[in-house]
Amino acid sequence: MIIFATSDKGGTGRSVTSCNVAYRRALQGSNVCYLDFDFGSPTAGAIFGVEAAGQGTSSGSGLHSYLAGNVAEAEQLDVWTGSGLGGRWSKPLGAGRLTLLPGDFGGGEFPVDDAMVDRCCELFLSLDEEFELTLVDLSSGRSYATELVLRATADPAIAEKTARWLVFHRWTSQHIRAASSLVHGPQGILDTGTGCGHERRELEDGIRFVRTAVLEQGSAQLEGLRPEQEVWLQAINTDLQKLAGKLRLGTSMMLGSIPLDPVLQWREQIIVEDDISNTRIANAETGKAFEQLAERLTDDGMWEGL
Amino acid sequence: MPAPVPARARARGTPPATLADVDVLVGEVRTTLLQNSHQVSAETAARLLDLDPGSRVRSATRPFAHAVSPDERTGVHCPLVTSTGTAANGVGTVLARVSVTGGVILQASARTRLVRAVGERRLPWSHYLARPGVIEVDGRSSGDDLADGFLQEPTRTSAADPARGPLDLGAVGNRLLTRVQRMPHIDRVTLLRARRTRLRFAVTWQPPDPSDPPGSEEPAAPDIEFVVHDESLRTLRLRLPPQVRDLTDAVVVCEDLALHDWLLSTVGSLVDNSRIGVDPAADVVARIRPAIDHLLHLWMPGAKVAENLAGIWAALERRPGFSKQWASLRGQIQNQLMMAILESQSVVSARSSNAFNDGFEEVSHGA
Ligand SMILES: Nc1ncnc2c1ncn2[C@@H]1O[C@H](COP(=O)(O)OP(=O)(O)OP(=O)(O)O)[C@@H](O)[C@H]1O
Ligand SMILES: [Mg+2]
Repeated sequence: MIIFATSDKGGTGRSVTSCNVAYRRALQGSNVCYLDFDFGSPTAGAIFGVEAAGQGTSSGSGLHSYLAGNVAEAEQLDVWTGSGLGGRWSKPLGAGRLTLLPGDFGGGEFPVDDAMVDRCCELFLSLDEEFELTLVDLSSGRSYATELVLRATADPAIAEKTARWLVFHRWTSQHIRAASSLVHGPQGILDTGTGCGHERRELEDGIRFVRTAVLEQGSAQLEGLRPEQEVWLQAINTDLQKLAGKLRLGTSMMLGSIPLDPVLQWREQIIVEDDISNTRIANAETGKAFEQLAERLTDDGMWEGL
Repeated sequence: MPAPVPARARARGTPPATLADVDVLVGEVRTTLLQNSHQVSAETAARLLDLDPGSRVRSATRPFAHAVSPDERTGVHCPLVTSTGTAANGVGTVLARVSVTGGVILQASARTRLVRAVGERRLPWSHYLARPGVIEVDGRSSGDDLADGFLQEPTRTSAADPARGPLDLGAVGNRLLTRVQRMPHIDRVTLLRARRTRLRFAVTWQPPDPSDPPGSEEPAAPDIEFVVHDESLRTLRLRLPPQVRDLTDAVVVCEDLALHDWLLSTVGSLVDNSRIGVDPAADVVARIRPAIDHLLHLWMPGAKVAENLAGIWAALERRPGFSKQWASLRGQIQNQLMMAILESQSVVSARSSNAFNDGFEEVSHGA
């Protein structure tokens, strides 16, 4: 299965959430690979703590170079052994592979041509031989990366594979509007996808939304609010829910909601069990939300057509 | 492939006055699982491997189903890696073929023979095309230097000059694999997730031993270094006795070794990740099942290998002991099958003894 992670706006938490979900999914026993298709700012290496690819790889064989046809094979890094975070990262019993295909240091966006689409198809197919889950972090907005994968997944051989889309957004009215427009708006995913040969309905059925850095009602962070503030917050939340429903990203279209976490607010990283139960710097709810989202990626009940 | 020219004899220890001949067979085998929900028939295999309508796919049914594509030629002009760092460039052609074994294992192998270029000048392509599977090498490197350089992990191509990357036979084979995996005759539903493995090999020939009478029947033992570098890369360095000259036979040995090494790695990691001792045996067996159904019966090391190269398998069986490792894996799988049967019986007997107890309790309550 291939999962695409996208968002309309930058800085929504797309990469941090995707990396954490990939990590959880590997812990659950799946072989997972993570592809950094955010060619302008590849950050996955830093989030996973893989030093060799902090801001993209310098080997000259990152995904950007591979897609451009400069190298025959894209570099693959094993996160369990390559992560600089230390001993606690040795592969736990029963965990699957967790492999990072980094972007290139100093890469950038580039227009898509047929040869590139072809190489992208070959990449997805060969990874599918080895990995249950291929997670692709795209650039934000209407990017070349998005066009590239929409064209690649329209190829008959790839179209047989299940492809699903996660659209990340924060819980504010601007983010909600932007996320909806990225999917349904002009030159959005559905428009572009249909132009590439996708069935609009089918493509739409494979799209779900993920809310990030959400201040959950009743969470510890909201304790100590004045009653006026609480009432105001409640009203705003109800309005946002109405807006989301109207713009087709209501609860039924939502695959997960990740609470605001103090650790992630200050540092882009993987939240491991130790951060929750030993040092207790991260919230247990955050870990749970990642875990649940990881499970739901392949939970067909969550992906039934509406 | 044309008949190889025997390496010129050279007395050991004395430096050569002129440059010695170079004769190195290099290649890389990539092995993976054919992406189909069941093993393919001989007809489908033949259609998948029909790369060139002009030539025929060769098929065999014994000892197991095996089909090989015709050789495909690729022209190359590129630098060669040497272990000493001496500069060397090669011009010529690479031969590559792809095969399906047992209807499930897909292999591509690309190989070429490195020989010393006669003159300084590059000749017209027609010259190189007339010698398929040969690369002519300039510079002063020895055969050993080229063989050892080839086995090194290639330094990544500089992005600045991608066209001038070193000889990459793996990429040639990989392209063939991907081409087959994209064909319409298969459904691309995978039986199990397995790694693509790479076996890179370099073969040279031992100088003839002057103490051997000419035409001696008993060939000297081959010299073998097989190294497992990580989960996907293996290298094989062979120094064959001078009598063993058939290049095709040597390639078959390497393909056979790559196939069995892949079986061992794939079934090994499946067993490792099946949670033996943690989950009920029935769950473990369900995870291992694809290997039981499709892979276990394919273990037949050396079955396709020529008589005079049988010594290579014999040596590998001593160390690292392929078949011993395989037997141990089979044993583990059999134990889990036994356990699954025992567990299901104990569930049945526990149920019947519970029924008995329930009945007994009812009686005692009634009393
Ligand atoms: N659940 C969360 N709670 C608090 N902060 C978060 C949360 N998720 C992400 N963040 C923070 O938000 C910031 C942006 O996250 P991230 O880099 O993942 O976004 P992005 O959408 O990938 O951005 P870009 O478009 O630049 O690639 C980071 O500092 C990250 O640590
Ligand atoms: Mg990002």
